[in-house]
Amino acid sequence: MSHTVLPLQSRLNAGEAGIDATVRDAQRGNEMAFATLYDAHAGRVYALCLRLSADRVMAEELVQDVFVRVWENLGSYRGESAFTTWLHRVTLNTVLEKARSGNRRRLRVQIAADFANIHTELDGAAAAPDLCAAIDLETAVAMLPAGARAVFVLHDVEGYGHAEIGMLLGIAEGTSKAHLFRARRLLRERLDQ
Amino acid sequence: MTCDMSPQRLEAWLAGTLNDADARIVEQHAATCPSCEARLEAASRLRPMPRELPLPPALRASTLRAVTRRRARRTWLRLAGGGSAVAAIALLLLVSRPASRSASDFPGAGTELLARAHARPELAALDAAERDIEQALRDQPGDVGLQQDLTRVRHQRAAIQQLVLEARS
Repeated sequence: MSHTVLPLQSRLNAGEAGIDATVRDAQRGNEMAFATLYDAHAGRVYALCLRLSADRVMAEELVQDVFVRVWENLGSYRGESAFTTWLHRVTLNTVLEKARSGNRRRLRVQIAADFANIHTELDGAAAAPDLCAAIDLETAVAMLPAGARAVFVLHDVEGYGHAEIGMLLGIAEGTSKAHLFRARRLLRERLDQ
Repeated sequence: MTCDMSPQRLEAWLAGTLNDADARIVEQHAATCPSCEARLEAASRLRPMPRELPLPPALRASTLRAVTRRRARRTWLRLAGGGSAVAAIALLLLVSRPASRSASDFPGAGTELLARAHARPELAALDAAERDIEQALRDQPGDVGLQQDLTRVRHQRAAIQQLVLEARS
C-alpha cells in the first residue's frame, strides 16, 4: 500500500460525494479504497448477477468478472454519472455478454435451499413471515423463463423502463411489456401454490 | 384506438383463472393497449424486492484475489511490451563506449551513470510487478501463467542489471 486513505468508511457514509473521493483513491491504485468500493456495492452487484443468471455459482463468477472489469476500467470513469450508475451498467453488460456467449454451464439449478441459506446467513433479524415471503419470491423469480425473468428484474427491481430494456436485451418494447406481465402472472401463480 | 378486451377477461387474468394460452393473449394485448396495460400494471405488481442480497462469505476474498492477479498480469505485459530500458542501454553502450574510453581518465563513468538513469524506473517497475505476481502466486501457487510471468520478470531485470554492469567496464 503506497499511501493511506482515511477514513474511507466515513466517506461512504457521506453519500455519493464521499464515494467519488473513494473512487478517486481507487483510481490511483489504492487497494484499500478498491476494497471499500467492493464492500459498499457488492451486495447490489451480486443481487443483479444472481437474479439474472438464476445460478449461484455463475453469479459469484460474474461478480468477480465485474470487479476485475471495474478495476481495469476505473481510469475511464470520469464522474459524469454517479459511480453506482456506472457500476450498474458495467454489471449489466458483463451479465448480458456472458449470457450471449453461450458459456452457460447450467441454467437454473439454485432454488429454495440456496436462497434460504443466503437469507438466513445475514438476515436473521428479519421477521420470519417476511423472510419466508422473501425467500419464496426469490425462488419463484429464479424459476421464471429467462426472458421473463430478465425483464422482471430489470423493470420491477431495478427500475428500468421498457424502452431501455428493449435496447439492452435486443427485443421490442411491446415484447418487454408482455414478458413483464407473464413474469408477474407466473410469480403470482407460484406464490399462491 | 378501440379496445375489444372484455373487463371480465382482464379480471380473470388478474385472478389467475385463465389457462396459459388465454393468459398470453391478454398479455400480448396489454402490451399494445395503453388502457389495459395501465389496468394490469397497477394491479399485478408484486411486493418490492430488495436491491441488495447478502453475499457469500468467501466471495470478497476471491474477488479481490482475481483483481490482484489481473493487475499483476497487466503490469508485466506492459513492461514486456516496452523493453525500453534494455534497448536504451544497449544503444547507449554502442554509441558512447568508444568515445568514453579514449576521452576520459575514468572510462565508462558517464556511460554508467546514463545507463543507471535509464534502468532505474524500469527496475522499479519490475520490482513492483514481481511483488504483485508473488502476491498472486501465494493465492494461486499452481498458476503456470503466473510462474512464467515471474520468471520473465526476473530475466528481464537480470538483463538490465547486466547491461548496467557492462556500461561500467
